Amino acid sequence: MNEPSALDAYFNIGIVLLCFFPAALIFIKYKLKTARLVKVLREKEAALESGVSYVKKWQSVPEILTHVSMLTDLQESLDLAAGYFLRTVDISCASYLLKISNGYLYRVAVLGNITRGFADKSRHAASAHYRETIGDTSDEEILTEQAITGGGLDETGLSDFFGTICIPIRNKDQVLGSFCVFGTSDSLKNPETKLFVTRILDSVISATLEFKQVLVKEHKKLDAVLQSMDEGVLLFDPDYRLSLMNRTAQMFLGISDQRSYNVSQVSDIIKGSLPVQEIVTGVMDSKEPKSLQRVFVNGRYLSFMFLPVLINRETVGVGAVIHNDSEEEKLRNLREDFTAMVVHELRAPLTVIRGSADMVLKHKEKFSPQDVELFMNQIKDSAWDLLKIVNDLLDSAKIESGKFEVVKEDCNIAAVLSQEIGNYKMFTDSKNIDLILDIDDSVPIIRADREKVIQVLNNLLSNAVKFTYKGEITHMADRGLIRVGLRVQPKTVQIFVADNGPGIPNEIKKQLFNKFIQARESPISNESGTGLGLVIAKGIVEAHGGKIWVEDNVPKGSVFIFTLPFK
Amino acid sequence: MKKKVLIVEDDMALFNMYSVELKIKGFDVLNVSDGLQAMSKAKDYAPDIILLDIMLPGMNGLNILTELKGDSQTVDIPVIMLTNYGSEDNVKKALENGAADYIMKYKILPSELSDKIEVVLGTSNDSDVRIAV
Repeated sequence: MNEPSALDAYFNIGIVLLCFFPAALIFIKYKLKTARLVKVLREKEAALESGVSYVKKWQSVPEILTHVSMLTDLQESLDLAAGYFLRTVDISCASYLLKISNGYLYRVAVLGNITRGFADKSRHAASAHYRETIGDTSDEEILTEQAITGGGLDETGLSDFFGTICIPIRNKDQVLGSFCVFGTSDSLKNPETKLFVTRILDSVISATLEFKQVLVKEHKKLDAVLQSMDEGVLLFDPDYRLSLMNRTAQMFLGISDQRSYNVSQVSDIIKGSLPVQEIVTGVMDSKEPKSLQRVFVNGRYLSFMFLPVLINRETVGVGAVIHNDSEEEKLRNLREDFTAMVVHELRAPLTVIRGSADMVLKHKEKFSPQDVELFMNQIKDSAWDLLKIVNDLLDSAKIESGKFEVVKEDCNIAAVLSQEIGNYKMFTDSKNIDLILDIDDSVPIIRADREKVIQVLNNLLSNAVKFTYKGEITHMADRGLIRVGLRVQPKTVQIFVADNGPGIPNEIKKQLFNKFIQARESPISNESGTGLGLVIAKGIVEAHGGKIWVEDNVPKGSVFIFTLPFK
Repeated sequence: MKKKVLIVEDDMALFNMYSVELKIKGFDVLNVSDGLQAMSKAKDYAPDIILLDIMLPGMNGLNILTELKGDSQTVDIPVIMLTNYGSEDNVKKALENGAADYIMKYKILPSELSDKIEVVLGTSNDSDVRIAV
């Protein structure tokens, strides 16, 4: 046998190689594929892991939003968000730069200490982001008030961060600041983290600002209700400071300023009439309400109800509701005023009667017949005035006690009106007042007490003249104008007396027909007259089954209107 | 020369009484029924004394008194307040604001009023002297 040649050897190797190559190729290919699969699997695993943490993070979102929804202070919400990010995202620090009333605030939340360098670098990053957001290209350092929570400045502390995510803090179009989180190693490379931080922060800010808006609105509503109450309301906080006082309470207690008072100062203001300090302390301790009736404070009789304000059985303050008990007192005062006014009205004609009679007696030798006539006429007129007042008093007393009666008979109301206007014409002419009569056609004969209806007309006309008269008239436009009219309606006649006088304020209008109120609160209290005219007019009109009221005249003055039924 | 009296009073019957009485007693008398004109009349007429009603239409005599006492031209004219509305508050206010006296109209006759005017004019340099009413 021949020795195998080298060629054979090569050939054999070649054969072997030829056989192995595909296998190797297959092996290598397999290896590669496996590695790729492993990688994919690893990736899937990582994705799953991040997905789980992502889900976990988002799962905790409702918690923070629930907290935030209770806050109206943006700063507090941002603090909460910073703390939240520290717990849920792998970061070294969260911070925010916020515009406040007198500059900027920079707050850093950390877990542990940081170096000054870290703090400064983070602040620069936040400032730079803020400036970029607002479009400020200057390099000027934003001066801030700086605070660190969760740790402090220490040179052995954390000295650097890796990666930053900054988000503008906005209220609609307004940029309020920047919020930043600073990473550890490469923790912030994941785009989901940025998404997470952005979404949460947006929700936190909008929830806070929206809640604040709602709260401010609600607060305003509540305040409006509180301020418009007829009851006085006070609230003392647990430190015995007056934390709330509405306008009525201010008026009752005679406190005019908005200073923050404590209970002993309030006690001093009310003086001896009510031991406020003792009561508030007692209610705060005992948690039992306490009421006091008819306490005389500042010229009023007031009743006080002190109530403990409890939250979860904990006293968080003492409230007081103050009611004005003075209605009776007020009525008594009104009666007194009315009496004083009536006395005044009786004294005036009596003074004239007495004085005029005395003059005639004393000076009869010196007096001409004209002088005597003047004074005798004064006596007669004043006696007539006295009689009118006495009759008015009697009428109003009858109306008040429900004993006022009218005797209805056929009455040509149009003729009555014309005649009355005729009587007044001379009087109004002398006072530069135009008196106009405006009666509908075909006015029916109605059933009415003629004398009493004339009394109503007289009362309305004399008032109109009294308030329309302007003294010396210099321009035609200044002339007084009284328009008296009659309108025929389906079942009634409507009669009105309109003047162009000063008009009547709305709050007085309602009280105008009230006996005592009118006497006291009339805007023209310096005018003479008992003010009973309208009370009696109302009594007469109502006794006829009609109505009487007052409206504003256009463009100025008042219109008194009353109706009388046909029957 | 006749002493001049300015009467600020809207009740014509009362004014007739006071003016006839005072004219008989030798005074010169001017009436203003409108409170708004009291001040200008006090300056133009330059009376020796003013009788001032408290209840004037649309105006309180006490305000006119304050105005009179606040003006150098009228500050020295003695003022007697007239009223039928007895309120101690008003009396006090009037005297504090420089009224020389305060008269309840119903209590005095016109002849007594002229006596009081003469007393006030005779003692008008001494505002502390009051006349019992």
